[in-house]
This record gives sequence, structure tokens and C-alpha cells, in this order.
Amino acid sequence: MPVVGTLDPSAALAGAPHVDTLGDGTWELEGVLAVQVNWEVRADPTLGLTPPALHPSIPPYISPFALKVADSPVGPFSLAQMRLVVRAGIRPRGFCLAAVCDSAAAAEALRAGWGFPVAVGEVAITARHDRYECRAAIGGAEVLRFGAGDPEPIAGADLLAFDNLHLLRLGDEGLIAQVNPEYVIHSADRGRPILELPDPQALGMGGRIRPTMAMTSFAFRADVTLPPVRFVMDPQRLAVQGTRKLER
Amino acid sequence: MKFGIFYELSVPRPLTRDHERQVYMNALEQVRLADELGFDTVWAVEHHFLEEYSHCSAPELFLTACAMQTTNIRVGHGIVVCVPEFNHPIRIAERAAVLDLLSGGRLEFGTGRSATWTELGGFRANPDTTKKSWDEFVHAIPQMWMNERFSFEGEFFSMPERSVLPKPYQDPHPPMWVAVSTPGTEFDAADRGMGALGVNFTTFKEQERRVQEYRRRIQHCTPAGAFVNDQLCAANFLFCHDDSANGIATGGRMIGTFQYLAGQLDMAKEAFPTKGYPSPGLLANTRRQAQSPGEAGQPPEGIAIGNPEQITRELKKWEACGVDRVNFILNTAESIPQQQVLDSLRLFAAEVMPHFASKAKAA
Repeated sequence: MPVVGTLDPSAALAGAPHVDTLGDGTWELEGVLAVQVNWEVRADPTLGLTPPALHPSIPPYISPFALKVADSPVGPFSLAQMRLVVRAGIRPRGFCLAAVCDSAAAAEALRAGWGFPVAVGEVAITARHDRYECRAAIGGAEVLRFGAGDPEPIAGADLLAFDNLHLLRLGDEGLIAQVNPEYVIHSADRGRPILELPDPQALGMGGRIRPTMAMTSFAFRADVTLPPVRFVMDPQRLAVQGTRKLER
Repeated sequence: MKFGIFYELSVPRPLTRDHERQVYMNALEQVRLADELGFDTVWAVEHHFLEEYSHCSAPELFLTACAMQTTNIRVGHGIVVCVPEFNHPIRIAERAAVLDLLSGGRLEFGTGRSATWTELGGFRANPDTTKKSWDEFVHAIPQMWMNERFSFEGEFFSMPERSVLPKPYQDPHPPMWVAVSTPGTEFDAADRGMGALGVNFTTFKEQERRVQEYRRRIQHCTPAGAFVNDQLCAANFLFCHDDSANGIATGGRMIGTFQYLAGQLDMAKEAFPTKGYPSPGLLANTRRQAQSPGEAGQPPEGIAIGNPEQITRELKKWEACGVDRVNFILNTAESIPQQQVLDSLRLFAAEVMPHFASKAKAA
């Protein structure tokens, strides 16, 4: 049996989003700019960030991911996420440790609808000739910078943007929600990975994310559909045993 | 149709040194029995860093041990990674030649390029270029074997004129194969006159289409080596038991374990977007197929688990769609006790193999 995470969910849930019900609306987001970097990290420390329901990837890596949304039901917003890539059963997922959003309305909607562990802050996502870049700050202090330098076009079909997992409290129950965005990619570029973590304690990392080797980075423009959460899992049980369809 | 056995050498946690040794010893015992029973080939993968899933990082050593303990069974590199960060092509040619000499000309030479980020990243290899390096290697290596002296100026390696020694026992060289885990690679094999070593499973309809296209294209190939190896080999699982329910349940447990361990691999496609890996690659299809529920109480289509009659029926389908050989995984992470694996091999040889014997002999 593969290794499982050692995070104590009960402690982690104390700071997780708390909602009575998850939303059942779908967001259709057109012309979104997305940026992602994949970067290997030290193995042992990440186990303490991973719930027992999930397996660490081999090797462990993080996958910070940012979205610049020109319009949504709550207006424009930019969202930067710190994600740890894990395995839910046999499927790769981005377990979102924390996120920053530059719109209070969007942050509230993302938290209530999909359980994003999101704080309000400053997020700047830029597309320049020589790089795509995302910078995120909370209270004026930068917490994350990543991007794709010297981008070159690639086929959108070659990309894989992981589905998200969010630890949350739904009523009295602690759960992991599975968020499955759908992407229609119009263009994509791959570039030189760029990553800076100015505050290793920020964004749910708790000093446990220790980058070791750059893997890849890419950016794409897409229409994104964000459907309601359909599946949730018990953070204490293996995903293959503890996943269920969400009753609404 | 010929039958082979195929080793990933998966080791269950906890990953103790005793567990690792036991897996190797059990495999060798299975190989000795397979040799006695008339199996055609034992294949071993080359994988690195794949915790639990495969601890078979030095297949040439395992295959040498197999060769030294057997008489007839052929030994198959299934496959050697033809990426310079993993293996220098001169060393590949030398090791393979020695294995062919020691085995008395029983080597089947499989080639490939790795499909996981875990391995490619571990060797700091570039996923964009593995297909190109593979292509360069498979054209150069047979020349090293056939020519007294050899020199080369390529993109991935260069060498001044030297005599690469020893030469393989088979003259001009062992049969050459390509691992097919990405759709379309079987046609790369055909275009180079190489056998297609299927390490994934697919539907019979799709398999039949691929076989037809492979056969068509290999007619017009430019062989990478000195001769054409026009054989197609499929991968499968094997657990044969007189009691159908027992066979399916035990074999299903093996498949489930395999599926779960394979599902932990970070495929190149998942971690590193590149046109070099246009599908999730190695064993993703295996995972999909293994998840197929099939009929209630029946194994998934084409899988060789169950009683001898069921297995014969499934293998006849493979034969009908033009596959020349089937290689079986016999166990995964020791989920089946060794004695049951050996009994399964014996029952298969006694009750299933005879249904395919005449064609194998003719081949």
C-alpha cells in the first residue's frame, strides 16, 4: 500500500472554510488566463500537509496555479493558489493549501460555493513578451511569486491542469471537496519555471514546502467552467473508500 | 501463439531488504518453472525510483540470473531505456551482447524511452527529446554489433572509431523490439522493422485495427537492424485455477493491486506538458482496462484470469486479432502466495497451452 499523509485533519479543519451548504451554481468564465508551475519538493515534510485520505505523489511536487478572470457573476478577479500534488486513489489532484484572491466578493463566493481556502489580498497576473508571472501578497507582504519565463507555444491538448481538493467543514462534518473545472483551451505556452516563496510559513505551507527541482511551467488562455462540487471524501479514510457523491 | 512471462518486480511495503530479496527469489523460481513448462520468453522491465511498483532497475542482471538457471526460455529486455541520461548506447550494446553470449543466443532486445516524470526527472532527462534519442540509439546499436569497428556522430552521442565488444551470439544480432505504451509507437516500430512489445491493454476492436496497420506499414519498412522482426506482443495478467470464481477473485486482486500501484506513478504527461508524450503513457490504458468491470462475475475482456476454459477463450480472441505473443504478469506486490502462482503456471501449461501449441510450433 502506498504511503498516506499524516496531517491531523481535526486540527487542520479548525482553520478551514466552514459552510452550511455548498453552492449548486455553475460559473462560465470566458477568456481566462491561467498560469501554473510544477516544482519538486522535499518528500518527508509534505506528509504532514497531506490528509490520510491521500497519497503523496512520487516524487512530491507543488503546483501553484493562478487564474485571471475578466468577468464572473461577481465581477473580475485574480486568484493565486498554493497546491500540493497528491493522489486521490489513483488520480492526480492539486490539494489546495491556501489561496489569495484580489476581490472580496469573489473570495466569498469561491469559499461558499467550492470551499476554496482563500484569503483576500493582492494578486497580479501579468502576460509579457518574455514571461507570464503571478505575484500574490497578503496585507502588503508578498507570499508567492511564480511564472513561466521565455514562453514558447505548445498545444493545449498537451496540458494537464489538475482538479482541486479543498479541506472544509460542511455543517458539522469535516470533508475534502473535489472541484473539477473544465477547460476549453484556446492557446498555450510552456516556459522556464520561476518560483519564489518569500514566506515559507504563509499559504498553509507551515515551513514544510522545501523546493528542490524545477519541473515545468505553462500558461494558457481558456474558457473555464466551474461546476458545483459533486464529490466529497472523508479526510481520514483512503479516497477509494471514503469518496461519496454529495447529497444536495 | 507464444506465451511469455513479464516482470516489473513489485515489492510490497514495508520496503525491507528481505522483501526485496524474496521478490527476486520468487521470480527466479517462477522463471525456472516457466522454462520447464515451455514458456517462450521471460521479459524484465527497466524502471527506476518507482516505489513498490517496480524495483527492477538492473534487468540485465536479473535476466542473466534467469539465463544461468534455465535452458530454453528466451530472455527479454523489456525494455532498455534508450535515453542517454539513463544508459550510454555503447554500454547497452555491450551488456546486451554479453547477455546474449551467456544465454547461448536467447536474448530478445526490447527498447524504449521511459514514460514517467519520476524516472525522467530523476535522471534529469528532457521528455521532449526521448523519442529522438531512442531513434538514434536503435539505429546505432545494431551497427555496433555488426561492424568490426564503429564510429558515430549523432545528436545524443558521438564516438570515434572503436571496436565495440563482445559481439552478440546471435548473428547478425538479437531480434529488436519497441515498447508500445503511447498510441502510434507501434507504427514507429513497424517503420523500423521492429517488433511491437505491447505494455498496455486495449480493446480487441482497437487492437485489430492497430495490428492491421502495423502489418501494412512493416511491409514497407526500412529496418533499423539487419532484419525485420514483424511480431506483435500483447501484455496480460495470468491467474489460472480450476475453480473459476477463485481464479477470477485471486486474479482480480492481483489486477487491483497492480492498478493501484500503477496509478501512483507520475506520468510524464501529467507533470510535464510535451508533445513527446501525447497520452498518459505507460500503463494508463492498463489501468483503464483493469477498471473495466466486464460481465458480472466475469473478468474484464481479454484478461487471462479464471479457469482454463475461460482463459483459453480469451486468448483465442487475441490470436484471432493477429497478436503473435502474449506476456503475462504473474503477481503484483506478492498479493498472490508463491505456491499459488506456481500452481497457476502449471495448470495453464497443462490445460491452456496445448490449445495454441500447433501454431507456436509452426512459428
